[in-house]
Amino acid sequence: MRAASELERPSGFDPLAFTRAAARRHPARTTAESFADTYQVLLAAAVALAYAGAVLNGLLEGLLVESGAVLTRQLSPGTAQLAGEVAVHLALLCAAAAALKLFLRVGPVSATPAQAHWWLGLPVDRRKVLAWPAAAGLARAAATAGLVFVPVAALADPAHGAASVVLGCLAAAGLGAVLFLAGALIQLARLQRPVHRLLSAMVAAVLLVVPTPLAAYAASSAGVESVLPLSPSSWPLLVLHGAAWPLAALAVLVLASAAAAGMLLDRLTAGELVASGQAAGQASAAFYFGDAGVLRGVLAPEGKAKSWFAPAGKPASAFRILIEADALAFLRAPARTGWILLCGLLPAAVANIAGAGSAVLVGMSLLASAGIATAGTSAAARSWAARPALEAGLPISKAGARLAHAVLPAVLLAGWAAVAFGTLLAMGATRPLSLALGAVAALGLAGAAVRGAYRPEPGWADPAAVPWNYLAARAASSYLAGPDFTFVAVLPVLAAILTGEAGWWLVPLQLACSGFCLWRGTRDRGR
Amino acid sequence: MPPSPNRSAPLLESDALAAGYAGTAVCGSLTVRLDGGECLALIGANGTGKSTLIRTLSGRQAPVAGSVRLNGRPVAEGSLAYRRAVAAVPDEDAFFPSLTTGEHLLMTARGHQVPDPDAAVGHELEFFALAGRRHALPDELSSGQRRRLLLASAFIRPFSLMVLDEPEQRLDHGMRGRLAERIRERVDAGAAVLMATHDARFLAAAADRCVLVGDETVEVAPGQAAGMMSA
Repeated sequence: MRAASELERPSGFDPLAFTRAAARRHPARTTAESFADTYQVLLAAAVALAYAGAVLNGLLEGLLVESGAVLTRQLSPGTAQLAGEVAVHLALLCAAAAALKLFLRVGPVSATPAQAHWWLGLPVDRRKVLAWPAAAGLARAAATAGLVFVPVAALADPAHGAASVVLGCLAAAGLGAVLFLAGALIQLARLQRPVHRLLSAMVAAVLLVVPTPLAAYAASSAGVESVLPLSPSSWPLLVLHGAAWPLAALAVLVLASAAAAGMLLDRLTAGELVASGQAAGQASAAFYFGDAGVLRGVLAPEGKAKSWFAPAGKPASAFRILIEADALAFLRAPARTGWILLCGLLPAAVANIAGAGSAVLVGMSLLASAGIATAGTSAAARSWAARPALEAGLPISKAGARLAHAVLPAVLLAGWAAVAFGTLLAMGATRPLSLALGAVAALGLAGAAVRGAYRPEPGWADPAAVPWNYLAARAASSYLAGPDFTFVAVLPVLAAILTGEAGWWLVPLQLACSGFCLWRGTRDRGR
Repeated sequence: MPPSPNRSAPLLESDALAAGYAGTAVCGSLTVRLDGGECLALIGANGTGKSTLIRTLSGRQAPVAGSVRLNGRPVAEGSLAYRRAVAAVPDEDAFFPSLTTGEHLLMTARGHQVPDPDAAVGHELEFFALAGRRHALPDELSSGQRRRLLLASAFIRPFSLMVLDEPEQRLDHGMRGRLAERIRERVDAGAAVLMATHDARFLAAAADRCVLVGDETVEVAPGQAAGMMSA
């Protein structure tokens, strides 16, 4: 029998070393499989870099340079070349905020079910056991941030030398690590949900927002271009331009928070670690496959499911059941419903910044806003599309079911249209007739929402005689199903904004476009 | 050996324990006491909350209300004392793809400082009819073999409380009988076992006491419970 003092000390056994040694003896993956994995990761990284580069390039060249004069005048009086840089600062702020939101919601310290059972059940020092997975996650976050900064550095100022770009990427990696560690520290604090939310908001404010108004106050006589870079999200750009202090500040932050997190690593239960790992896995898969719906579900705050409908006294029709189920889905996700209405403010916000005369920017923001709102309203129908057996069991035709799924999106999108066109009208950026056109467009957008929900599978696994052409066509038709009808549905009202004239002749055109989208969107073959 | 229990307190004790999610209990509250040398079974229909209750009783899920104490102290899944005392089998498969059957068990035995880990691994593989699969990776095992490997991981180590959620799942009739005998051996040697089960014969062979989980959670005699389950 061992002494009591011995039992109070952790066992000296190292399960990580044991697992690594065993894995080296008989790897579960063949060389070919490992090669395929590496290829896939590299390909994904290349695609992500290409996307980031294309988005930034489009932002800088397509929008801000062509319409830059208006935006530059608003944001940075007296200068004509910094509009693009301001946009890059804002893009970095958004990216950092998104990453922080992900870390705060998912909890970056995690364990797989196998690690939880075989490692965490042992009487060993949990901090040592969890240090390796946590460090690997930290390294991934830092590496991703560093990689994402490569196209930013290249586009922000191609004249910089390689050494500056490397230092900028290093600063971006440091920023990624700080955001990861901020999420980890909040997770390890194991707070009650309201306190967790409050502290998360405070951390986000302290890390990303507070430095900017403080700097604005300090530099009140200067333009916005001297204020934005002081936000920590823009520190990598400062390093790119030659500043060294952000690197030192980030290094101190990383070391201090890593040390604090290391001491707290054993505070989480195995169940909490596995739950974080599963959420992170879901988020990664959703990101990899571009499934915004699943990603939104992972990031949505946890809530208690409420029963909104009392049992009906008599059997309801299948049409009504589907509408009620969709309504339930939206009522249970008030944040998503609110977001649909809120994004209707985007065109007015752009009009406010760019000036009411910048019709192209306002029109593009209206299209983007409609796309976001339509995708949001398709969430309920998407969950039905993913479980076709449920719908097949109801006494209703496919077209009838899809029409039922269009009802709630039509109502919500009518609300979106009221917000979008009401605010534009209030700013004098459009005519009163646009309100009516927007209401009619909502019907077409509802058709686009249903079409997007029932879009055909990309068919990645299908055998193909001519693989690249076939896959490209299937994938393109899958990704375009929904956004294509969104464009058609808002085309007349878009024309009204772009031309500045909302003539009555647009009404029959809008009715035709909306009618077509609603009819075709609810009768597509799809899934 | 697991730490000596505090003899003045029961091994496991719950007081008005409510188990559930997001502040809502999924079954009636439970006040129960489990001492060494006892096997307590939770029974009830699917969805009545047995698994949630067993996870809460074993400290792997926070209670909605009430308390659970292990050896007189609030149950803390992360503490060293808990990990030395409690052997639990997960509900789902959880394996390292690169570790063989034998290596999974060897890791557990060495981590728990079992005196002769290789011999202990051989014994458990023999008992759970996995001796021929010692060098097999998890992917090469059948569903039942993977279940037996998880059960072996609980028996290979010392414990004072074993927690099993439907241990009879995926086991053939003969293995269920042998498992019930093995549980009885450990209970008779002084360990406590907390389990959920749907198998009336398994219940009758292994359990001393039984709790029927439902809207009201009540203790019933194992014989009566086995009769209810067979009906």
